[in-house]
Amino acid sequence: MISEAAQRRGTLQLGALDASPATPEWVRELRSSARTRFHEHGFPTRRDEDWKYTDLAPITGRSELGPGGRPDGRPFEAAINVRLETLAPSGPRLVFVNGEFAADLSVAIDLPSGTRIGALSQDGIDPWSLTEGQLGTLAPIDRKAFVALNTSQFTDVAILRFARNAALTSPFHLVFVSAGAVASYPRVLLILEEGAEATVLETYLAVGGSPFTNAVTEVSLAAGAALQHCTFAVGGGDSAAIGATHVALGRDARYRSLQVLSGSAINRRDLDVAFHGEGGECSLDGAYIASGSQKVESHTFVDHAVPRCSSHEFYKGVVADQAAAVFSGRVLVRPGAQKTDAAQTNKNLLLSGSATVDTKPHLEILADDVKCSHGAAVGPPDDETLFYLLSRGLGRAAATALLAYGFAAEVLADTPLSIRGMAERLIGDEVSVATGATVSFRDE
Amino acid sequence: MASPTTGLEVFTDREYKYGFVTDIETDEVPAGLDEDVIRVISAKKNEPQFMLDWRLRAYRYWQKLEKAEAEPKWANVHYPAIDYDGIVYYSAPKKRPTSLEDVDPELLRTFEKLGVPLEERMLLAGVAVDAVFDSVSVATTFKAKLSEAGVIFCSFSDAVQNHPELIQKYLGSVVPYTDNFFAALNAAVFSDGSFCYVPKGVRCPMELSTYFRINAMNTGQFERTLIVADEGSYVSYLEGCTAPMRDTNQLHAAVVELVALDHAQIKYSTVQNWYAGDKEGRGGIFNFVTKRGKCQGDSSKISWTQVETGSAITWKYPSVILQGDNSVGEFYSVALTTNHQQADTGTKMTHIGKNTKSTIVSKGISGVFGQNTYRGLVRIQKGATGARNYSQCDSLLLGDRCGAHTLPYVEVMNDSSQVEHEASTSRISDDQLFYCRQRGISAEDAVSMIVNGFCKEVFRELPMEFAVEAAKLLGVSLEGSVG
Repeated sequence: MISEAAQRRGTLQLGALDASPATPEWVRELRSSARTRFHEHGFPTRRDEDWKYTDLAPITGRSELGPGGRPDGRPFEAAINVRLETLAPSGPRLVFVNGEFAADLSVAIDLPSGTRIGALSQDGIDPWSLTEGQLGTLAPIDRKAFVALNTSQFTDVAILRFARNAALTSPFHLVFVSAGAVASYPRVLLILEEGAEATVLETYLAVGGSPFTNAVTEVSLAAGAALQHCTFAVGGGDSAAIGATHVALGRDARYRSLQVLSGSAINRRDLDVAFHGEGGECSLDGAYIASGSQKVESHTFVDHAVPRCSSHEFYKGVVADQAAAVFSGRVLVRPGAQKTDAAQTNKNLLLSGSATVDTKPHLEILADDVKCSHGAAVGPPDDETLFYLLSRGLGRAAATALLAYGFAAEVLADTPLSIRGMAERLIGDEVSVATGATVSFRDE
Repeated sequence: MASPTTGLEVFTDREYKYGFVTDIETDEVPAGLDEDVIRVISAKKNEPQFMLDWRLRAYRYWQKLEKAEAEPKWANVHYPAIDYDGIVYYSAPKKRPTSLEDVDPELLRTFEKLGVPLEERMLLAGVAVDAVFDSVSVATTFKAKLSEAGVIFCSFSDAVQNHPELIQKYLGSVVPYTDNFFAALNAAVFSDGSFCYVPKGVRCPMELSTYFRINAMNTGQFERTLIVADEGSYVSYLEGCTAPMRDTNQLHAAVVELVALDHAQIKYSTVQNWYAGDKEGRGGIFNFVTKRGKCQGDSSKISWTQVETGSAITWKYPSVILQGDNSVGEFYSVALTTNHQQADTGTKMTHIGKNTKSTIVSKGISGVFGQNTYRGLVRIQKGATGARNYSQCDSLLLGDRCGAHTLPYVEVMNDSSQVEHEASTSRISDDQLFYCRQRGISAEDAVSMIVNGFCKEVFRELPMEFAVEAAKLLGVSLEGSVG
């Protein structure tokens, strides 16, 4: 049966990847079943519990969902360069514009032997063999409409495969730029073999127009691997973004995530972490900031499927003007997952009488020897703290900005220094927009 | 250390203490539901036209829902489909007593078996008991003393006859029949229940109480309670339940509506101990209840306290609509699920008025295969400036095959309000147990003690005699599930 929504949208087209003779059969099959899944079920609606608070109108109202390529215009190039300068200034990086690999903007480095980082479309040795058995296995097309959409439409894949015991000291940066009024489908496959260690940043930028970005990142950590993973999703304007990160952790693997999200017409990130081996650890930190009439959403799901794993979540939100923020954190402790330690905290600061926050910290626990807790709070800036700052001569806007920055930046307490500066600047910029006063830094 | 399972078998094998069936001739309409059945119910109760019209509207609405998707499916409970045509929607004891002497002696004996001797209670506890036996009130006590104070406390059918203006004004004003599937069904077929009206400035001289008891086989109970506290009044209402043992599941879809006007206070306490089914999860009551209070007036207060130990399935969310400025809503709950019991319970606090406050304290205890879900909503609307909410949900797990779930929803729409939510889930720590054991306390007693301490915050809110009963009830129900 084809849903009404799907009929309205027309049919998803086959892309160049489907036509290319180099594309292996299993990829064709995966894409075709994703297409079928999306045609059958269409976009989620607010009657779906997971999408209860999400208004998808900016996306479902689009006439065209097919991926757009890199725009020609000079103005775009200039804008892209400016954003790259501020957000991904130095160091090795892969840059994709509207889902297409941009070799001219990317910076390569020497890699440890066995480690491969590159785009699927780059020339090299049989890139698909790097993805086999992993691509499409972590992000489920059957349960997630937007994962199905991405799987059927992506045009390139950023592949990062860190060899056994390889350690990459400097952060590696993936930058996805969406420009113009087109749709793009960034896709990342991030694999850490046993004992590997890495720091990977993903930055999503919207430049001009009203782009729609639907990203999927699959992360697999083998036994003992450790990853510091950052996702910066900078919305702004009329851009719409739905992104999902799916993480699978092996025995004793350590996964640290930092997400900084800013508002746009809709900016939603889903982060699903599943423990597959005992002794795994994850810490998920995040800050989201929205102002104007923007929307920002952060959804996390931690699946404690095996014993002796720990997860810690710390998310903070700043919401100003008529903006709306949503936090949904689900922790599932499956039967038998004893000695689970799961903690979750979500705090929100409301800076205006018209701002809205919906928070949903859910615990589902089916084992008894566990330590699980969650806390959620929503409130305005503390009057006394504000008064303290005002009494020392700060203007109201500056005082609010300082408080809001301090509030949001608390999530960076455990962030490694190599990426902390960037995260601080990003939060500072967004808080400045939200409060109308510049947040200054000690190093400037 | 000896395993705390010692003695477990003794308790899990314990038969339901209150399981017996009283044989009283009942006046039943045939099983099944259509407009005629509703007309019969309404006619038997000699109801005015507005009641019949309301019931029929509710029935038509319910039919629409039933065709669309039947019961709501979002709750975390699982049960075989309910055959709504197999339910007898009306049954009443045939002899309608006019005073306590006329009450069927067998019924009185039933109450005695339950530990609710009416006379004794009247004399000793000073509690007015409006005993609901199946669907019709058979004995109402302390009427004189209450009417002296101007308090109206009677069965719902009497209220329809004697105070139709109050019924017409408040019936469905808090839980409209369009509220949900079970509320619609209840509105269409409810047979009786309790009604209470406390006039302006009156402090109700005693705690009001209703004992429910499900009796005749295959008779769904559709109670409806309406309590109206007029300006500046106060009333405390107790509700307690036991039910006889049987094999087929029984549906109970009650509706409770509370209305508090300016400066009025309503305290509603429940101890629920319906038959929960046997060890394999056969039988037991389906308790699908809609309870909601409206703080309609300024500075009014509604407080729900519940201790849920029975029922195969509990599906209930006593809620408060905080409409008046400075009004206060409270929810204190202990829910225990053992064996195959399932509970999906919680509350909704809807803040509409300015400076409204709400407190939620929920304690969930799961043992054996029990599944316990807290589902709550705190919604602060745009106009509810200065609103304040504090929620605390703690779960205790007593076995490795049970489940505890906490699903709070917090929606805040202005910046002058503060909302806090905290939840924790754990089992009884070995340290705590060891501490008790080394002081010579048996594992069973230690667990019972620790759980009682865990629930103290809620028991404190119960009226005295109820608190004692609740603690005892919890002890008995719990010991069967320590593992």
